Amino acid sequence: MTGARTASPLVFVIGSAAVGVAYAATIIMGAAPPWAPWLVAVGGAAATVGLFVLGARTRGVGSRGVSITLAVLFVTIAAAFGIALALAPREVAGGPLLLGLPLRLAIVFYGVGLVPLFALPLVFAKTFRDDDA
Amino acid sequence: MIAFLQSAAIPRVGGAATAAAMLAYFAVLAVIAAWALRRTRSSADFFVAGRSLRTLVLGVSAMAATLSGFTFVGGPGLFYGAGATALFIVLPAAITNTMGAWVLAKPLHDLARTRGVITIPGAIGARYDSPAAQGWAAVSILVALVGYLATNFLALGYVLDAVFGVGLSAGIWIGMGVTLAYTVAGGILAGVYADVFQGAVMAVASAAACWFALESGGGLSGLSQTSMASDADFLGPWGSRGPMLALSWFFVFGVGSLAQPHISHKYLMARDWRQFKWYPLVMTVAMTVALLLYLTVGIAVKAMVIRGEIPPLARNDDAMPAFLMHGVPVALAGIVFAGVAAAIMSTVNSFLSIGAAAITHDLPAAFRTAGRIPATAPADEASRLARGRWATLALAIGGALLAHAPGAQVAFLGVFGYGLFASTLVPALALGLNWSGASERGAIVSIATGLGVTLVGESLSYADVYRLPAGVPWSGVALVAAIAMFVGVSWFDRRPSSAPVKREQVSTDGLG
Repeated sequence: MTGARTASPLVFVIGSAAVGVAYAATIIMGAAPPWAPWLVAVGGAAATVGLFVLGARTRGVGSRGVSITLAVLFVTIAAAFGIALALAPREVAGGPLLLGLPLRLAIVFYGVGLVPLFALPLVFAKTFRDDDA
Repeated sequence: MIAFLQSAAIPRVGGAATAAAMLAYFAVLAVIAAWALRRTRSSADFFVAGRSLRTLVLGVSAMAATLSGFTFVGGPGLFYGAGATALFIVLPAAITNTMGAWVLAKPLHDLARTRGVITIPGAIGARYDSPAAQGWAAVSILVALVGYLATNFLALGYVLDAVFGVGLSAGIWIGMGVTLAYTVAGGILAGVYADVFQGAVMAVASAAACWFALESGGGLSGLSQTSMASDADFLGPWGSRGPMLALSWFFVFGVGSLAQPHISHKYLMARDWRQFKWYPLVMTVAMTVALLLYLTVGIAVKAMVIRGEIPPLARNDDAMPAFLMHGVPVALAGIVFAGVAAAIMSTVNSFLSIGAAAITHDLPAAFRTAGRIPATAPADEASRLARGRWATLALAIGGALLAHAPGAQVAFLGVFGYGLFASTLVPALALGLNWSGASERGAIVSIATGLGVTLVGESLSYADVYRLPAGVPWSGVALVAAIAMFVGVSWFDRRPSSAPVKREQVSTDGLG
C-alpha cells in the first residue's frame, strides 16, 4: 500500500480537478465555455473509475481483467457523453430513434445507464473472494 | 438546485380503495414493529441490526433507503419540467450500486468486525484514530439529516392528507407517529425488515405505473415522437437545463453516493463478508424495477399535455397526481400512494437511526479524551438502548415541528442534504478508507470545507444574493473544494495517520 500511496488516488484526483477547472472557468467567465461540459464529462468519468481503482487496491483485485474492465468502464462513460456532446441535435418531429429514444439520449441512457448495470455486479461477484474477511 | 421532495399539496386521488390500501400497508408495518421489538435487546440490535443481515435483506433495504418520496412524486415532476436533465440524478445508479460495495464494503466490514464500529462517523474516527474527525462527521450528518427529516415528514403529510383528507398538520404527525413507532420499537432492525416489505411495495407500484405510462402513449417510441414534435430540448441528451447541470448531477450523484450514511451504514450490518458477493446485483435489480416509474411517468404526462388530454400543469409536482387521475385505474392509485409512503418512511427510518447514533454514540465519543467507549456492562447496555430510543424520539419530534415551517423554508432545508453528505463525507470516508496517505487534519479540514461551502453557497442561492452561472451546482463546487482540501492537506502532512484499516485490532467499544 505504501508504494501506491500517491499513485492510488491519482485518477480520482485528476478527474475531480478537471471538473473543478470547468467550474472555475464557468464562474469566472459568467457562462460555460464550450469546452467546460467536455471537462465535466471526462472528469466525472475519471473520478468514478478512479474510485473503483482505489477500491480494487483495497480489495486486492488488481488483476489484468479488472484493469481492462475499469478501462472499458471509463471509455464507455466518456464516449457516451462525448458522442452526445459532439453529435448535432436531431430531436425534431420524425427524428431518428434508437430503442425508443432519440439517438443522442439513447446513447447516453443505454451506454451509461444500461451497459454497466448488470456487467459491474457480475464482475464484482466474479472477483469476490470468500476468504477475504 | 431543486427541491428534492414534495413541497405543495397533492390533490385527493382515489377514495375508499386508496385509503384501504394505505391502512393495510400500515397494518403490516405494525406487525413488523411488534416482531422487531421482541428481538431488539442491545444497542447493536438497535443501530446495526445485531450484524445479522443476509444478502437479500441488505440489498433490498439499501434500495428502499436510497429511494425517498422524491422518486415517486418529485422525480416525475422534475422529468415533466426539465426533461432528460432529471435522468442524471438516477443514471449513476447503474454504477453506484456496485461502486459502493467495491469501495466501502470491505473496509467498513473490517472495521465493524475488528473494532466494533457501529456508525459511519465511528468508522471515520477509527480510521484516523481521531475523536475530532468522528465529531465533525457526526455534526455534518446531523446538519444534513435535520433538513432531510423535515422535508420527508412534510411530504408524508401531503400524501396522508391526499389519501385520508386529514389536513397537512395531522398528516405530518400521523406519518411521523407511524414511522416513529416502528423505529423506536425496533430501531434499524425493524427498519431493514420494514424496508424489505416497503421495497416490494415500491417495486410493484413502480412496475405497474410504468406499464400504464407506456401504454398511455403508444410505447416508448410513441412518447418520444410526441415529445420531440413539441419540445426539442425535452428529450435532448441533457434535457432543458443543459449539459453543465446534467453532467454535474452525474458527478455529484455518482461520487456522492459513497457518502450517503444511510446507505453506507448497511455495510456495518452484514452477518459475514460472504453476504456481499451478490449484494450489488440484488440492489441493482431491486432499484431498476423501483426506478421504472421515475423514468416513464414524467414523459407520459408530458405527452398527455401535448396531445391535449389533460391541461398544462400548474406545478411540476402535479405530474404524478395527474397521472394517477388520468392514466391508471383507481385501484392502482392506492398501491402507488402506499409506494410513496413506503419510500418516504424507509428513508426516514434510516435517518432517524443514524441521527440517534450520532447523538448518543459519536458526539459523546468525540468529547471523550480517549475517544473510545469503554467495554460495556449489561447495565450500560440497557442505558445505551434507552438513550438511542429517546434520541430517536427527539429527532422525530424536531423534524415534524420543522416540517410545519413555511414550505419554501422546509424545501430549502432539504435541498442541500445530498450535496452536504457528499462534500463532507466522500473525502474522509471513501478516499480515507482506501488511501493510506490520508491524514486526520485533511479529513477534518475537508469536512469543514464541505460544510461551509455548501451552507454558505446554498444560502446565497436561496436568498437570491448570488447564483452560480450556467447550471453549476453548489453541491458540485463544495464536493470539488472538499476533495482538493483533503488531498492537499494530507499531502502537506505526509505523515499517514494509520493504515486505512488495522485488521489486527480488537474491538474497542464493547460492541464487537
